[in-house]
Amino acid sequence: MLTNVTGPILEDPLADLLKRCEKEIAQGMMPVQIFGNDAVFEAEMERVFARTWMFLGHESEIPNIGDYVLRRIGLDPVIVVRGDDGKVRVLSNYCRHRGTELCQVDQGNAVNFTCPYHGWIYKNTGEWQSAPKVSRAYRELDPKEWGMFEAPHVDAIHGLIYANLAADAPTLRDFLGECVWFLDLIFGLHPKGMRVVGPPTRWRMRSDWKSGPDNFVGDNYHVDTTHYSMDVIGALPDSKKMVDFVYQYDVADGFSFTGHNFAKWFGPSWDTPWGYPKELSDQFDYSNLDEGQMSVLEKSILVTGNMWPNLSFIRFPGTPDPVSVPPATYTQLRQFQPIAPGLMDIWVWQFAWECESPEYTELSISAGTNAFSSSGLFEQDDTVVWEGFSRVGSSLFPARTDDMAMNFQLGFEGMSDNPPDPDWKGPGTARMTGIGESGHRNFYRRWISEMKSK
Amino acid sequence: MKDIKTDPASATVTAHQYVEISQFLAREARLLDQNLLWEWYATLADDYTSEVPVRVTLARAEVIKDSLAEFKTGVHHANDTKGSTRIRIERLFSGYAWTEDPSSRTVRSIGSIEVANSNNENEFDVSSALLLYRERGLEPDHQFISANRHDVIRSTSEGLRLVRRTVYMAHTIVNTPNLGLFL
Repeated sequence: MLTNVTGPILEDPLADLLKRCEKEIAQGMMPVQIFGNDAVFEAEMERVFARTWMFLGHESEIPNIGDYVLRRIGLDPVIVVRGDDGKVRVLSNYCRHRGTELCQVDQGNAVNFTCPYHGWIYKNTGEWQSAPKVSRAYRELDPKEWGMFEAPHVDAIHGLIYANLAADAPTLRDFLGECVWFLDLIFGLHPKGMRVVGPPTRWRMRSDWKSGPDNFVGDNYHVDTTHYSMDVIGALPDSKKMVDFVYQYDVADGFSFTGHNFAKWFGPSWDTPWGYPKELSDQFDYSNLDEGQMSVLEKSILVTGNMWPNLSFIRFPGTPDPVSVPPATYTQLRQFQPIAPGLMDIWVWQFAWECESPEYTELSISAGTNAFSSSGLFEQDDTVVWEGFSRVGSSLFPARTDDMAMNFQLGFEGMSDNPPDPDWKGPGTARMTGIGESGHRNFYRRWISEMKSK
Repeated sequence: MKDIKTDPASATVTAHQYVEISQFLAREARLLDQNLLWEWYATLADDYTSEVPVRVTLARAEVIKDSLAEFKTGVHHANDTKGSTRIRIERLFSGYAWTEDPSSRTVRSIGSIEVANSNNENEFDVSSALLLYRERGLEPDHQFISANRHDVIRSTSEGLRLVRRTVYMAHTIVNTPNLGLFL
């Protein structure tokens, strides 16, 4: 906790760094010291993770009364549970008595949560229920004051469960703002929506949590370098041309998406949304989509994105073996969970349309695993190139000159061929090439704004 | 998913068969540690598949009911055929596979080998434990990837071939930055 216990002036130890950040982002740069820094990490837990709407999972993961999964808000383990009353709650995993973890498994179904230390029992709604020898032990304990700590705000959109620990939080829809327009395009194309397949897969990487959003927010420029091996083996056709088949969509700070024109890049046979088979895409309902949304579906359909702070999205076609397996399009949400400066866990949820065939689900999950997972052919190379972020942050060089910044000037002012689309009908801005880092600047502006406000 | 045989019909397996299969597994580990990936690929049957299922932590009562309860279906950490394995190896030789350039420095220890005759003629159910030590690049920090493997190994006129491998990891949160190597 960044609180001073002595001294009259509560100066923010990050004040100078954040002033530098503001000055530098205005020039398309950010100090390297925002990575790999203990004070920054600690402050992020309070100023970002404790105050934001945090994605925790999907309703399809806890369909029945009593179902629960163990998830995270920052470093805190939280139980996401469908209580006896049918309501989804987000409960702190620590017993109110001595802090023992009530739940030591990843998922299950429970009527109660019982502490193994002294036996305090809570209902699956979080209410304090009882304790051993309760009539002799707790004559005056008010159960209302000793229930499991609960996130004051829990809500869902398209089945995506979010919680906010701040007492005075905006609504989820207000927080997401124009991002909802994009979520409707990703998840809202069929009334039955999507479900999560299997538990989230998880693995630990030696990177700052921000390096994930930094990429999925719209790093179109790295694909034909980091992932060039995919070209060589014929899994990606001519990735050097990709930047001209890509759109960058940036809405209110911290929310960005990319779009691709598959027909232009892969060929005219790619004439269904995302290359879905007709028996799937023919079931989609476009009646609620506006002109801008239809233009996205037709010209530059959503492929990656990041939603403030740490929830990324990817939907892309692939196949583990082009010789014998037809391509299928996978949908993933991925969350970059902070563990320590320079250490994060990636959690990946794979989704399937409720209306698709089980055969297609299997193909698309297999394609998603093959491309983006701990063994993913794309993912593997990302894991390596992201390791430097947090290491350079504590390098001796920037500490000497106070001058070392990361360059986010791609598409900044006159630097690159990254023009906005003057005919864009959707929210925010759309850039017509991938030679840009507007999504990155978008993300860091939001970061600065959240880190500055106490 | 087949159960790990904890009490194989080992009486029906000859000492010679056990030695051959142990040698096969040891050689496989050496080939992979030495980055002789095409030589390793040659030991795979044409109908080879492998999977690394995702493991979650569940209550003990659930694992008692079903020893494989923690290994979920529907998603994997890796899920391959011989064809997709060929592509993985081609990628590693493409000159642009940054993950393994420089290569990880690995030592695979294979132990706890149990061999039983399977229901299919000329095939064996083989269970082994893998402890894979991994270092990479400039950093001395390392990970131990630990798993039980259940394999089906086939005896052919050209020698033993790996038909099927299921890797039951000890990890729920996989503790290495990527699974860009073969388990």
